[in-house]
Amino acid sequence: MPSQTRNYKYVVLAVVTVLLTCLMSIAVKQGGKLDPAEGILRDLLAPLQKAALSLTHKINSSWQYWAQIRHFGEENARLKIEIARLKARENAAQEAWQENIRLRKLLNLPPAVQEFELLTARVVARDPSNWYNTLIIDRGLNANVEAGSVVLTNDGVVGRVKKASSRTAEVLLISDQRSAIGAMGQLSRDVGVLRGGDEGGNCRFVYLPRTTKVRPGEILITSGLGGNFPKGLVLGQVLEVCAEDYGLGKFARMEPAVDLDHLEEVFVIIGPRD
Amino acid sequence: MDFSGRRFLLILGIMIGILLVQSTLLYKFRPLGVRPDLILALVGSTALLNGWPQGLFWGAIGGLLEDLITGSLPGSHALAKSTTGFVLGLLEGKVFKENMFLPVGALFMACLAEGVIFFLISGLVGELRWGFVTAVRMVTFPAAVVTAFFAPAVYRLCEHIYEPPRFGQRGGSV
Repeated sequence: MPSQTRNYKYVVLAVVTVLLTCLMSIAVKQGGKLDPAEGILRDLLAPLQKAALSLTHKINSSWQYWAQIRHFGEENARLKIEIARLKARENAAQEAWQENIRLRKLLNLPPAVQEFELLTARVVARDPSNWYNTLIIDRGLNANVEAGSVVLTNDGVVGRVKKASSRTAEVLLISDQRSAIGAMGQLSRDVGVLRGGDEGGNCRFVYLPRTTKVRPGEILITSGLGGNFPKGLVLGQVLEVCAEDYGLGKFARMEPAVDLDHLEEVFVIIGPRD
Repeated sequence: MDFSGRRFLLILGIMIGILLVQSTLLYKFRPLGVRPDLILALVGSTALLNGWPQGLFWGAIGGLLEDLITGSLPGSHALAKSTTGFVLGLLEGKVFKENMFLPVGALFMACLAEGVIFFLISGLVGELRWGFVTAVRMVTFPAAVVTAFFAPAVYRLCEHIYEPPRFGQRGGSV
């Protein structure tokens, strides 16, 4: 009996392993497509995530407010309440003003982007795991956002859409270790591949020849090779140029032009401008 | 083995809550550059307290939820977490539950193992491009340290869910 119990354990483990492996095989066969369960769950969670994120901003504002309040004396209590009311109003106005500034900045796009039809989207969630760098935006297939769509801000490229459900889309950031973009130096015109996954949220510009003219401080742009990204979009700035192992070539470390940790709104390219 | 409805819903709710909070409110909370794997801490604690069936079950459920919410390859986190939950569940009864050091140590090792299993699975299907050493240095090891830091709180929460403390009586299901 004890050996039967022991075998039973491993049979159950084997069955679960086989089932999950089958699930993975089906998912791999489907490629970038989002399976229905994933799409439905993400669509259901999107409003909750949106609400939670807006709560975060409110908590942040309140926290900053209370940090300031501590420095005032108790005799000003009534005035503080009055100030609190005014602050709350001011916060709301400030939030609207800041949003206005951000949206105006977004509209001030480089010429390379102006030939495309753009759509604004809000960031509603981030990948909670440690392995990937992705975010969820509140636009999906219903708004013509599909897998492969390029996501950017006025500062530069954010990434590309990996999967889209009807109302949300998952964006693979350029700092994700799975990301690979055809890139080139704006001045040196040296062409290579920009890979994510470097330390500190930076990227690595690889496959450079030993004689590369890329230098620290140079801006990297998309090369247009590979067809996923239009040519000439800003990616970031070179921090340093290093020799590859065994000295066969060189690579450069690049800091993304976009502050990927503080994104609230982004643009999605949904097609050429008519 | 206890899969009562109230506990099932409670643990499922906690798992969804953890994923929701970590993807929104606390997405910037990254001590040592990584987020604590609270789902694994929950799966591991459940396994240590209740044995392999619950470890396997909650590992699969927690991993699938993580896969669906994060957009990872469906089944990749689930397989890594269910296997880890199963192995931890085999330690049920062998770990002295009142000594917090042993569950924390077990959860630290489990987090390392889960990271390695996930690396192998995702690497096989081409979802990871990091080398093994880079993955361990940048994610697996720091995540295990940070998760172990939060493990006592999660373990105590699970103890509270499964067996309210009773004096003079050692809990646990056999």
